[in-house]
Amino acid sequence: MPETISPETLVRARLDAAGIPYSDEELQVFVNQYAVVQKQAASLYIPETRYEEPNLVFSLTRYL
Amino acid sequence: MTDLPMTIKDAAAALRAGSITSVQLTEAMIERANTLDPKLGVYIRRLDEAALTDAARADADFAAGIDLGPLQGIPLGVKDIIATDDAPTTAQSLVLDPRWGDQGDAPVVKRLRAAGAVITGKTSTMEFANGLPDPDKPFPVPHNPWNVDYWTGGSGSGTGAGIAAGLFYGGLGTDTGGSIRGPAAFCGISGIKPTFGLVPKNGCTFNGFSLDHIGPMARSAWDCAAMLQVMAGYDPGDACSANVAVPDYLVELAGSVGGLKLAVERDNHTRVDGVLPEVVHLFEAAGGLLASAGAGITEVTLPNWTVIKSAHTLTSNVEKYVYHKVDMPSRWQDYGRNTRFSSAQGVLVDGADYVQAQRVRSYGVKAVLALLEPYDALIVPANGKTAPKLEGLSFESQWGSNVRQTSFTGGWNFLGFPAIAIPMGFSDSGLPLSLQIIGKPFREAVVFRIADAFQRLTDWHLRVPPIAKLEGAYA
Repeated sequence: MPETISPETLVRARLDAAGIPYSDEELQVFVNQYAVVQKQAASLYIPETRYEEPNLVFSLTRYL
Repeated sequence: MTDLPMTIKDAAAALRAGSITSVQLTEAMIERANTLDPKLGVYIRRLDEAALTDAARADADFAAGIDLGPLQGIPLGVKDIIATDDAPTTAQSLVLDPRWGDQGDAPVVKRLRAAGAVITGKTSTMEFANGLPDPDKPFPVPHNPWNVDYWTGGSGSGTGAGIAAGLFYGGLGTDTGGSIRGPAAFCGISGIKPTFGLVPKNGCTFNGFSLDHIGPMARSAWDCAAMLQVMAGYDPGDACSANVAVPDYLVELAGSVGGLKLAVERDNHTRVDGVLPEVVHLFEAAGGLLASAGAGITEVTLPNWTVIKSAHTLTSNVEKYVYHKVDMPSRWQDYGRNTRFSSAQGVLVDGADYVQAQRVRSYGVKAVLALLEPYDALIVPANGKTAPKLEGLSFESQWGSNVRQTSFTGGWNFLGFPAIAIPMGFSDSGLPLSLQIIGKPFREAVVFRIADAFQRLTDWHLRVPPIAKLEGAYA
């Protein structure tokens, strides 16, 4: 069973990978916001979208 | 001068009647800016001399019998994320490459100039139309003309304040989550986010590739319609530009809502925790007024609206971040504090969740179109609260867990439907409150018809902030 990774560790890893030079105070803001973002993301998976196409249009017609 | 026309419509009539010239109008705007701009932070850059040159040209055209339409000779502001020939564009940021603005007038600015408009300057915003005012950066902090201790809302901050205080008659805004409608609501003016793709957005810095809309802000719905008439239409330089016919918006403005069927939505608006009682009261009064004018009113409930709003937020987070990803590691301190958080929080979103948000988008457009099929438009409040105080304004106070539940604009950016905010009264503390009218895609004409009819029955849109009266801008 994998160890639980703390939100601070996760957020720090993401910010570090992005090369963002955050301060300790800024890290805490991102950690608090991570909880908000995760809750929003989790809410997106409603049954109505199970077989829905994403509204991402890749069309070559504009290059004709 | 304190007896100037209040609206574009009235100014256009006065210009044609010969009771005023465009040069006189523009000189009056300059005089007002001299007095009020230092207090309100409307402009990043004023273009007084160029504006007077444009005004003189407009007057010469009138004298020669050339009439380009209602915007000829009318002073307008341009939000400083939209490129213009005669001034640099800063996006209110130390980060934007100054050479970005060398492209010259954005298509929407070209259209306004071709219609004879007088561009008075580049108006203040938020950094890249994102974040919040940052007093630590060398850009003006915009103040609400109704109470200078309060914010104008953003990011069309300077445009909103400038119109409310009478520094120009209208202006360009952009709207990614409410940046036209928010300042319109907080400053007591009118502003429309058109259907996605109706107005080309090339020549504007990105905030959200699939969420950005350029739109007009002005004192009245009629004025916004006159501006949109000029601004709308296909441009091949914008990949999202919709190749659709642009109807005559002004001809529909007969002042009647008789026979129209309006939906009202309360579950996700006036029944939400934290909404001011005055918002509820004024919203119900607005609905009652439209009903007494002959509109049918039926309550509906938007499907999965909280999910749709979340999908908008996540989409916005990611699209903003993509634009700044390259610059953030090396320019972190050049960004304002609040912009750093607002833009970088896209790092916290998984790619799969962004795609899922686009599936919610597809579902949302179809579900809301089906809901509104029997109706001509939907009416809701534009916001559940008044403008916030400038002191203490921060990312945490505006983006925290439940703060955004009383923001009622972002879902319409996500779905792309047209939405106008118009004044509907004042809070107990004397700050403006606003009604939002949402139409079906490309049905701006109906939205304008309802908004214009409401404004013929009320005068909220003609109220003037005390600071403008005290400083002699208005009688």
